[in-house]
Amino acid sequence: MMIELPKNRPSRLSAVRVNKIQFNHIFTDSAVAMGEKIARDLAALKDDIAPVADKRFVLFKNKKVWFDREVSGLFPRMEDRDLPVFQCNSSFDNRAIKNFKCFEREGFKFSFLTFQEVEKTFGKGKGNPYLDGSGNLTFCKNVSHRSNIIVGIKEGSDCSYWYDASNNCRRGNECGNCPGNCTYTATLVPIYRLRGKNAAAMSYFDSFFSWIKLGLMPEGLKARQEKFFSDLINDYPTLEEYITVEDETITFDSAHFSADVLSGAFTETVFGYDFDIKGTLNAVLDGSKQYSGSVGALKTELLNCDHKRANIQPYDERILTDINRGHWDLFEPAREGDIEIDLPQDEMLVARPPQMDVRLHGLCAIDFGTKSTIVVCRDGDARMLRIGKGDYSKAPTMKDFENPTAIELRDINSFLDAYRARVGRPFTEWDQVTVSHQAAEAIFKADVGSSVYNSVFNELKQWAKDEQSYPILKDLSGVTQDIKPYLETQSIDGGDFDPIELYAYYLGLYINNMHHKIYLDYILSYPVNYRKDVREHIRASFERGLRKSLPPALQADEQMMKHFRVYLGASEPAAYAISALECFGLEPKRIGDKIAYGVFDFGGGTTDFDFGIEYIPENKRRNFVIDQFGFNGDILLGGENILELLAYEVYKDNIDIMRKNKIPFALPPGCELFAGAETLVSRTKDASSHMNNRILAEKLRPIWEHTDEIKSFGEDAMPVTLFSRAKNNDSYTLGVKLNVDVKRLEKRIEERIRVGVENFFQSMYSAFEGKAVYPIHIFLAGNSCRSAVVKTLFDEFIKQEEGKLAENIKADSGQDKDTSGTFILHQPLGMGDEASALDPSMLDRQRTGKTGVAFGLLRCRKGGKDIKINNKNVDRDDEVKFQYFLGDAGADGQTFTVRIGREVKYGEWAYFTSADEADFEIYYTTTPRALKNNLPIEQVSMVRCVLDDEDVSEDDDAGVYVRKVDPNTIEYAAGSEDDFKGEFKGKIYRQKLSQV
Amino acid sequence: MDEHETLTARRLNKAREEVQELRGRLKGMLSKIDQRSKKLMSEIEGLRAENRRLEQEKSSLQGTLKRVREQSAQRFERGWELFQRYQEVGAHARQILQTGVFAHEDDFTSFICGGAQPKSLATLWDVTNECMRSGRREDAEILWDIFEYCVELVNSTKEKDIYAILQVDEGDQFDSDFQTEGPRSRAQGKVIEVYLRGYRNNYNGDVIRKSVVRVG
Repeated sequence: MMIELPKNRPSRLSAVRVNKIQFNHIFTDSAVAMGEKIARDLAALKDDIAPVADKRFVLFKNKKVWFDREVSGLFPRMEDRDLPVFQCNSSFDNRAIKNFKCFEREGFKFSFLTFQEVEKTFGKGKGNPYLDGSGNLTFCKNVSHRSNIIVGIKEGSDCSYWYDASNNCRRGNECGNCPGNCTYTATLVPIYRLRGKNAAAMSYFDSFFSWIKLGLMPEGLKARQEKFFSDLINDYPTLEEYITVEDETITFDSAHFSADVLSGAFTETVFGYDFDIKGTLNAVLDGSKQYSGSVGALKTELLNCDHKRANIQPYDERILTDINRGHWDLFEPAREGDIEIDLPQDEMLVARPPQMDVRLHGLCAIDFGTKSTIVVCRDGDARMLRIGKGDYSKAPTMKDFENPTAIELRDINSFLDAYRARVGRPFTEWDQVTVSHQAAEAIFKADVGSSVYNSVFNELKQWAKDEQSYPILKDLSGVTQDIKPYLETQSIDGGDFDPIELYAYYLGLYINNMHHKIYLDYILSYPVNYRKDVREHIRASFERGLRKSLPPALQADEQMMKHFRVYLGASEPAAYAISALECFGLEPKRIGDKIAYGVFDFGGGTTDFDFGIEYIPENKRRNFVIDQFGFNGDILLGGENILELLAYEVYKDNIDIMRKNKIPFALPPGCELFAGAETLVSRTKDASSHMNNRILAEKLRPIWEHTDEIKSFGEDAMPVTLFSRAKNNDSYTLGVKLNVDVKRLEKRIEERIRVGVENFFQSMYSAFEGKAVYPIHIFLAGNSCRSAVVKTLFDEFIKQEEGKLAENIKADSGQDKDTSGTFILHQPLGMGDEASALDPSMLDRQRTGKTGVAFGLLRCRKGGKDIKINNKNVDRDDEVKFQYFLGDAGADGQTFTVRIGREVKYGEWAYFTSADEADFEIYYTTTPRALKNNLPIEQVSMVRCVLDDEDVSEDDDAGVYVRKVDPNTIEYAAGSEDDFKGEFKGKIYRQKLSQV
Repeated sequence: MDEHETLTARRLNKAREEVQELRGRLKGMLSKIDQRSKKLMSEIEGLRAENRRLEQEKSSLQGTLKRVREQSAQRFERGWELFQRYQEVGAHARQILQTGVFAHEDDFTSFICGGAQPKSLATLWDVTNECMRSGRREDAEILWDIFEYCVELVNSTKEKDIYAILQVDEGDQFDSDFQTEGPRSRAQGKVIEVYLRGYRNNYNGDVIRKSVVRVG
């Protein structure tokens, strides 16, 4: 296929048009970067100029003064020889000295030195730049005694006194040191004090800032240093509040400065940069001003576009300049209101049509999981992608590819505004919403009760299925985001908030970017037991989100967008079976071969069973066909659920401590309240209860995963910090020590999984009834199947079931038959013998019990002519079959007894019970063990139904009839058998059933 | 020559032969003695060298002993100092640590032994983090010093250091593999403040606790 590239846009640009949002980013980023540069320059300056300025005596370039740090004072430069000279014993001069007020220069008013000061500054051999080796002043009027410096008139007398620098001594009339009738002369060298008389020496820092405040530039700086110093002198008054000095470090509070700049509180021009963002921005936007900022900021914005958007590694600069590469954003056609930025003559940026980066033969498979999502892209090799971890220079780990299905709202309003403002690749920011690993971790980073707890949403898939779920989220800034039930939720652009679309958008950003190119063909796996309308809704959400990640220029290309499609490929267990059949070398070899399998997909939240038979079709239109049937599952069996179950067991075992310390707990799904627990154990997941549940579950993880840490449980009671409802020492957290009976917990794990395995075998018999295809390969899938208990139990059940089979054959035919090998167990991919030694460079191609679904999905692609799936878990309308067994409490009132089985189709009326009283109960469950009619009644769900009085009848022919409407809804009505043969005319009652 | 002379001559010859024989034997003996002497000298030299080596070893061991004693003294001096500072830590933090780390908070031995347990480190770090988050800065500072000390103690029980405190500095690019966002953080950017350093297991590379930083 040839790509026809647009011809209406140049690829080498001398001017760039950017839209307002982008420009706003550039401009504000540029201002913030400038603030940070000031901080860096300032921090570097004191060290940079230290060789010149960190001296005792410093001369200044711009003012005729010099500085002595030891006395904290300035002195007039003496080169002009204009300092006054006096005769020491002249009464005339003494009067003049006495009347001397000050000496003014450069705006400084200088006064007499003290003896202490003059001795310090003019002491011989101290390096004073105006004193020669003999102690004479180098620049003074031509007088007889050049070493004498007037200090003043002695208090209470009219006699002057002075300092003789050559002899380092004080002199003066009547002081005894001066010869009588002397005709000595002395120069008046005055001081401008920075710290008062006889002050202590100043530090380099104090001196440095004093010079800046006084506008003094030291001599000897390089041109660059001089420029910055000069700017700093000019701008210091406006920047002073952002500058602090502590521990010999100058700090410029760039965060505070940036905040003020962005909020408009700081609008000055400093260091030649106009920080009046709003004014300048408006002027540029209304065309009254040309953008004169740095092109560097534009380039940085372009290189960091996806980093800012989704935390994806920034692009290298050659993408803007290499004629063979180029940047998509530069190719976008100009829109009204865009701002043009002229590039310097020697600067030329390269635009790239995104069409050139479309992988037309590529395909992307997405396994949208309850706990984590796997993305596999194929264009040649099939490789997994890391979502939310955009630093591609880092070596990946297997966990990196299991991308948590979680979103974190940080600033939802800004996100939604940006999202809705652009058709593709909107200017949303990672700082507004994060997903995947970072979002999943967020919940553990702050206290319960903080805004973080409600900002994370990690139940996307459960929410999609639940028709009555109204989650409320709150972003980090406290904005509440209501969410409607999924089927009522429309697109984000349409004004709703759809977390699945949002999540898909981020998946799209990680799939489609200038590192990876662009994929237009997407195949999704789907949960086999989700209703048709929910599955379609999920597909539509993904389509919107993925489309949003594509460049607008590509979206405008109708020809190209004809290739964009998002479709549902295969159910999750079927997709896994495809991977497993391939990797274990079990695919049929010739027409007539039939391979039967069952998948036990033991995930974090649920366990799905699915069954099928793979064969080569006689018409050879596909390589293989899979007939998929008999779906079932255990909605409460999952690795994380088991951890919660263990946590609850430990909570119960330590109830006295919990009660004493008022420690609440969230009741895990499927568990029952125990007597007296009502005030502490709640069904609703308030923050403290839920966190206690999570904390305990995490502590007990070594028992479930059987890691080395399990040994520590036997040594002592387990210390743990939990949340209490009462304050303890001013805090709601509390340290407690809990007894943990590891053996009992291990037994509990085994019991729980045993129920799941029993259900699996029951489902398998039911699914394969009448099919007689052996052996049946049992594929263990999902991360939780890594638990050794699962294999042990399966081995036990297989042995037991094969034994029973042999007994039945013997009973039926009298023959002994070796039934071993009827069921063949396969460990999850990546765990068994087929797993090659894990080559780090092959990690992104590693199939495991979790990632196998996405890889298998690729083989169900449209047009691949590879594997066709006949899904017999759905009816002719593609609707999933009704999953519940409907029944009552049986003859003993204690045992669930099936009255309406799965064989009854949608719309068929079936007798349920008599209509002799208005009230009746319908018990229901999806548990396959129900077929044995020995399930305790408390283990199934119940709805109480009521008939209107006119429908109640003592007539023996009158009964309550039930029909299935959709996967979660039934209708019932009262009448005789004949009433239901045609169209029923009486009142029909509707009842919803929910799974938990 | 008369008989007497002949006899005398014979005797002289015999005596000469005997002397020569004796001389030969003596030479042989002397040679043996010389060899043995050399061998003994060599052995003596070997023993002297061995003695010198042992002296050096002794000296070295004495130096090591002295150093270990000094380090030990310093370590426990530091331990005592931290133990005393621990008494100033708020009741809330001490209550939590009493359950998992320092069972007898007024007992120095319990303080040292509790701190030297690898499993104590995570609890100690968590409590430090909680103090930091809830604004109990002084408590957090003391607990951090104790945490660092405990890492040293645990490491000193192993041939190679098993735990290492994560390196992170202001100005570093935020790395979510090693750092987690503290209060008032952006989701990406540079580390502008390090609230609390995390630590890792050197043997398997696992980051046990990520550093808590402010990202800006």
